[in-house]
Amino acid sequence: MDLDILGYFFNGLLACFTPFNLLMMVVGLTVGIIGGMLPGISVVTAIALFVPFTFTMPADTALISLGAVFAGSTYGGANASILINTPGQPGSFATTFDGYKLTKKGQAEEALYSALWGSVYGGIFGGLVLLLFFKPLSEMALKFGSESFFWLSIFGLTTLSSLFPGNLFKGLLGAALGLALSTIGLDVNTGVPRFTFGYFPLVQGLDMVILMISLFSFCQMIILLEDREQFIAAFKHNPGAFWMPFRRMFQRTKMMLLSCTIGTLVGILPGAGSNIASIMAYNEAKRWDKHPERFGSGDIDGVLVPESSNNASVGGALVPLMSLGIPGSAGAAVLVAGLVAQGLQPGPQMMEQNADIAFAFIAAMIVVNFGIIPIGYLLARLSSKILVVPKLYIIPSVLTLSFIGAYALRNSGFDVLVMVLGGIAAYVLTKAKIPPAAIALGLVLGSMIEESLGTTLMRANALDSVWDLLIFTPLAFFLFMLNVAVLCIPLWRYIKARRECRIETCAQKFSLNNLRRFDFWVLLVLTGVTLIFLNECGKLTGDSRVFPQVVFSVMLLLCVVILVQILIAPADEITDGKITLVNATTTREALFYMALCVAGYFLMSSLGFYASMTVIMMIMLIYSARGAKYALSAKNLMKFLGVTVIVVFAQWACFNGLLHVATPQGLLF
Amino acid sequence: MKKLIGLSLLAALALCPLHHAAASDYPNKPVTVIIPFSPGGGGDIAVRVIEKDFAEEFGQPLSFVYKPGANGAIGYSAIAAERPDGYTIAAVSYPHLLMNKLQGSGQYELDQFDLICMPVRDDSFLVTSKESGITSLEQLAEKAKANPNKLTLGAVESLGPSHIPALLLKKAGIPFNIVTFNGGPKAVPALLGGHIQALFATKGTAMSSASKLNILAVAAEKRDPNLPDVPTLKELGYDITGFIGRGFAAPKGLPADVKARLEEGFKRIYSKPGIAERYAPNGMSVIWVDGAQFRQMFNDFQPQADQAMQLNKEING
Repeated sequence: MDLDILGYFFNGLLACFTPFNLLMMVVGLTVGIIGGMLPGISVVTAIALFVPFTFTMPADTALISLGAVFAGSTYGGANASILINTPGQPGSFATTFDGYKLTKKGQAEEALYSALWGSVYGGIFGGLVLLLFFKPLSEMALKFGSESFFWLSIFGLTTLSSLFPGNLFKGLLGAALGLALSTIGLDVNTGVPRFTFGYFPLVQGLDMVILMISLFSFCQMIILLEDREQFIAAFKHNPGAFWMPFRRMFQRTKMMLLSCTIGTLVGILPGAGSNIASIMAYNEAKRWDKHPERFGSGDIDGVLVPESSNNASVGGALVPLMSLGIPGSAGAAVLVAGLVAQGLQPGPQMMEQNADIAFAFIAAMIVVNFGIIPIGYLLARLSSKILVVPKLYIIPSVLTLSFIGAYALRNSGFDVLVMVLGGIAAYVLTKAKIPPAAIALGLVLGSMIEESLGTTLMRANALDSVWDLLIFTPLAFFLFMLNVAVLCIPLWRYIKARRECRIETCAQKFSLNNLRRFDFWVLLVLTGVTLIFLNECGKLTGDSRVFPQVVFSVMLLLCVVILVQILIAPADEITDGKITLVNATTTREALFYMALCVAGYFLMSSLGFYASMTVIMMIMLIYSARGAKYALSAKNLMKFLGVTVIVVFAQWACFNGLLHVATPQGLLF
Repeated sequence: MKKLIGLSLLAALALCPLHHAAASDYPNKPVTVIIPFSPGGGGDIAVRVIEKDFAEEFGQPLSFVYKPGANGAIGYSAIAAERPDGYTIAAVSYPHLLMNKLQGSGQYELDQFDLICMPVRDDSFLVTSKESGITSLEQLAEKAKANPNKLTLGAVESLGPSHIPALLLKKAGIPFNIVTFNGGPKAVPALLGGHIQALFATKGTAMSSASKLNILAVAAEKRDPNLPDVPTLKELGYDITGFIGRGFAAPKGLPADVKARLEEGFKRIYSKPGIAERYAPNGMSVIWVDGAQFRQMFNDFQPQADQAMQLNKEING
């Protein structure tokens, strides 16, 4: 690297440390971290909502504060993942695997600080890569054609086998379901509407962010109803918790460097952002670990890895932006709007003509990470207080927050309906042991797979055969072989395990008793739905048929395999899942809550959004009061009313007051 | 406290005068503008640029509501169903408003809108990468004709301002293999990495990578004043245009005086000195087109759009 860059960099550093820029950095970080924590406000939304505030700022301040929102929101999602098993933004869903388990073990503090330190480490790593290597790396990114993207996203899917050790087929079915859901709405390649069944709102598709709220926030709150504990988890204050993950990072240098490298590289590739970065890093860290089983059991490495990776992807996403003018992720794409509003054209011209501002920005992307330490620390301490609030209050608060989060994304009442119905479906599927995280993985990768496949097919029209492009180009061939390799290993293990099992005890024999299993009926319904969609596939033409046809066929196959598996399961597995899911009382409570949420959706347009939320929250509190050992006295009722009003008012202040979300007014408010 | 909020909101509602669309005091409350695209995109920026001017001109601020989804079709369908009192207007784009309809994703008719104006446009350019060494359309066409259907021409979206000229160019006798992408961030790297040989992209999409590109032609009636050396497709013998027009519309049935007030107000905003410079970094140029002309543009475009739909069908089976 030449001395020019160093000179510019130091000037950039100086620019970061003016009082006003520092202040705006703090504001940006706070907004970003809080936005990231709230389900429904993704990184993209957080940046986009902040952009208008930067119009009146000087260029360097605008960029620094936007960079702070970008880094802050990418980190902030972790807090919700850890505390309530709900990713605040899609990029932190891998953090739920170990983060929430740690909370359950009473180690929430350790997990929160691991996310903090991991994000800082990853962010600095990504920022340094951006500073030092942005030119060569962006040229590398250009080598990735659609065919390489295709194999890369398939590679993301192979993570399944190691992530869901229970029933491999159910994990696969979950992912196939996620892929299938991503095909509803407009075809990413041709813009033709698909699977709308004549119902117009389905044209907008099922947004990934909305379904993430269903799969995690909503579903998780219903699951929380199941046990009789008063709190989500015991909160233990551990004085050493803050520095422990910091030390751990430097003991596990190899693991950290691996996950940061993956994060940065995924960030550099246009179209793949923090969600894919974190899941890939998590999987690779697990694959190469000496004791892979500790991942997923509540280990702080399981938080350090995805969090360092998703923040490393931030710097990565800016590499092609600064050198070629191409945003590396959706977050970086919105950032462009902020740049352009300042009269700056991101890309090679900016590096030539406005190098001082460009380097102030790059320097800021490193400096903001140091800002995350104190601000993230304060906000983590504040948000950990959620664990000393009784579950009775948490559940309805998060449920109503899911409503407003779902609505705010696109100002769409239909999205709220999708969130509620999706959440109910997610709960049913969870009870049938189909992991929601597998569905989420399918959703994250679905459109990327279809888009890259579609582009490849169109490009292949210029060649003799599709395979010439898809497999017989050097980079694609390498990625293809990588896929084959990682698929063969677990398959081989599975077959080996099956063979041993057959020789020993597991007598498998058809038994009608298995018809009583809950998952049998869920699978049967799923098979029916798949058939309906397959029939609908027949009506599609051309390229827009290829991907759904494949996905739904695979789904059908998996459904049949699992149904057969269930029917011939050994008798002792029957107790595992009866029609009554947990016990009669909690099943009734879960059903009641779900029915209330559906009612909440219908009340929304007539009563008004917040009135409807107030009503359902009050009813939930009153209904569950006795179970939570609260007498229905006048005093407690007043307390419930007070809490409800405060929660709903806080949501109103945040979404309508600050973000100007225009919720339906209805009769009341 | 709940009651308090309820009461105060009710009071606020009661204080709002029942509005009789009288132009004399229009607008007397904030005007909601529906953006049928995501915040930060071109559809948003085009309005954000004049956010302050609107407040100065009309004495009331704009309040932004984003209804993205299905390439704008969700937002357009929502506007068509709004009340035509001038307090809900929308940012609409040419040719999306028509193309969504033709592709079957919009639940509206063009007649359901009162078109107010289309003050801004973003033209499509035909570009190649510097590394390709192709510097003129002639050279590109020659190469394509020598290897029919072997040269790939990209378009940034499907059946929009860059795909349509690509299709028409193929129709005009240059045998390209056409590939559509899902947005500029996918299409531009494919061109720079040599995965496709040429690309149609609007100025707003392509210009941040301009120093890596050869600009062969602009799909407009006139040359771009900022790029005076780039010929138009028409000069090169192909009568083809392609651009995104950014304009404003309201639900059908706007009172005539309100409509006149809006058109007149926007016209004043867009004739301010320096307005073109504010749009330039986004690749947009300011050209005033009034409501009637805007509708005429759609009418004139209809045959071309049908032709493009037909061609696309032929190519993709």
